[in-house]
Amino acid sequence: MTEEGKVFSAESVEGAIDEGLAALGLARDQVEIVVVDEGGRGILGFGGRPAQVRLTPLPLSPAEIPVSPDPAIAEPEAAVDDRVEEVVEPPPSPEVLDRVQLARSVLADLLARMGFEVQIRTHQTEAVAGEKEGTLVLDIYGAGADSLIGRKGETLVSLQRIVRMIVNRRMAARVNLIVDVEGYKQQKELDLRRLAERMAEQAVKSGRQVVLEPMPAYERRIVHIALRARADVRTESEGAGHRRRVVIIPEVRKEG
Amino acid sequence: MSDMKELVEYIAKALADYPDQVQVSEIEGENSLILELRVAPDDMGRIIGKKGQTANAMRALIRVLAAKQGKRVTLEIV
Repeated sequence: MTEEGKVFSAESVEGAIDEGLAALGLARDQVEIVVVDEGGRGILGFGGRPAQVRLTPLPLSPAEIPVSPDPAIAEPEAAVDDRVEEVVEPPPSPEVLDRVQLARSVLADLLARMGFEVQIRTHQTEAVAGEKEGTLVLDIYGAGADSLIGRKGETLVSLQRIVRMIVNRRMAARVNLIVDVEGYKQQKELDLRRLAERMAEQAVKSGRQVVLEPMPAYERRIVHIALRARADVRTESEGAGHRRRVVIIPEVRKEG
Repeated sequence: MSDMKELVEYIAKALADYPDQVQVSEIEGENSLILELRVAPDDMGRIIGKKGQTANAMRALIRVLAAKQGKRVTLEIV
């Protein structure tokens, strides 16, 4: 999660990653890849912007230092039924499928059509009070999966929206599900909660409101929820559209 | 090229009440591609979504694919 590392640019995100890996002489799994800018995108504008990625070499833990890799024990069969390409068969009838399988196959279908050869792992979070069941988390991992995050996680939000809509429609019910890439959202949520606490402390100490950076709706929601239980601050959102941000307001002004 | 068409078709058909009326045509330029998505009138609202959210989500996914191919892709729902 450091801000060090080198930034590489090319016409596409993939190209920039390849270029960076070549320059660093590292493999994909040896670096942390952050998409700084997806580059010229074309809905309205004339996309002249190059894509930019930041590559940070990951520290090798002793277990990961490549000691004469043994190809014989490479990837047991578990990897096989996870392959996206293998799940593109026509979906069986809804009654046969449980929602996990359905969500998984919808996501796999989309990813295959988006040209990704990645894998999906699923888990179910525990139900919190008032929920009948927990949230189904579909975590995408594998080569190039990080280019599914997009700037500020916007691509991931879109992917989740489409998967939810298709799954809800086929199940004729509302399914709680989250699409994540290599635990990105999970980490993001932790980071945001810590940030929220720190900024709340600062607001209380200084007796002045603290304005956070603009964030997408689901991130603002995490901040609001993180601070809901505190009596010494309250939170509001201000600004419009992409400029919308959270303001943390101290409830009791401290004197001296 | 046609994989973008396939992606749009897959999503639109999965969301439509009248999947057999989903049609996607491609208008190709040198570095650009326009995808025209046609759906049954009754499906328009669903495909576009509240404040265009569904259409924009589709555009975001297409962009990922377009970036890989170095193309500029526009999705029009007509």
